[in-house]
Amino acid sequence: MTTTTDKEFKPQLLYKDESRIKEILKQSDDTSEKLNQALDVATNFIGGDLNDEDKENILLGGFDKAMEMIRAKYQFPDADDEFNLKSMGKDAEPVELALRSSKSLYRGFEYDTLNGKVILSGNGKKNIEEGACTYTKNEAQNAAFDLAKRICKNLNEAMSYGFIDSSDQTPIAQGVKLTKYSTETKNYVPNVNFLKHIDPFGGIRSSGY
Amino acid sequence: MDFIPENQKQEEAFELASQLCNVLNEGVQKKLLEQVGVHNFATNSKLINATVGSKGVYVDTNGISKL
Repeated sequence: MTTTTDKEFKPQLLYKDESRIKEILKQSDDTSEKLNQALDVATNFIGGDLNDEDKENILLGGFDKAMEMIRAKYQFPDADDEFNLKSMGKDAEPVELALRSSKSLYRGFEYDTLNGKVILSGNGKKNIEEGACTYTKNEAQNAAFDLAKRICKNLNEAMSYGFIDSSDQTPIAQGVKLTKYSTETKNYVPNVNFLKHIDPFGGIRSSGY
Repeated sequence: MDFIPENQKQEEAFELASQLCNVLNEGVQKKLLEQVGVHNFATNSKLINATVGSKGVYVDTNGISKL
């Protein structure tokens, strides 16, 4: 019979970088705006009703796809593009420009095309948030994080009773690297920048610490 | 000699100081905290203390008795 005594490692969330999330969501919004403008140009060029699948195909196929779709509407299929476009009063140049890099931009984020518009998918948003999260990577970090939380609890309790005053905060934070005093929340918090450098053997990986 | 708190504040401080000592000494023992850092912290704190050669940090009963 085989038995295992190894505890399964469970990563703990050290912190979520909210400003990073905001920054990436802004990039995603800027890109989707650019793609929606490109779709407007392409839709006007091709004409008629285009469904979400058509629009997604245009973004992924770029200018070649837009040309393929408009060719299906040519009144003079035996004549060349120039003649047909002229006869339809269409100019292909702005479409070519608008759809340049549309594939890579559309693939850059996890977008969906819904109700005619490019929007960030729920999964895409979730992945952006997840990408901005830092988790513990080993048991030593878990142990240190747990200890840091307990120290913070005690320090914050001591502060609430007035046993620690503001002049004590800096030396305490410097003395105990697992914790730091947050001027934002005005209390002791686990020092995640220190914690994430702890290696599986409890040592510190960064020379900065 | 055991410390006997004389008022509620001393009792609270003693309880907190004991918890803090436990957690800090545990950290040093498990090599999660640097001994020097913990000693520096303890000497700056009103609740706990450390002296050269002391085995870890300890409750500063002298300081607490003045609360």
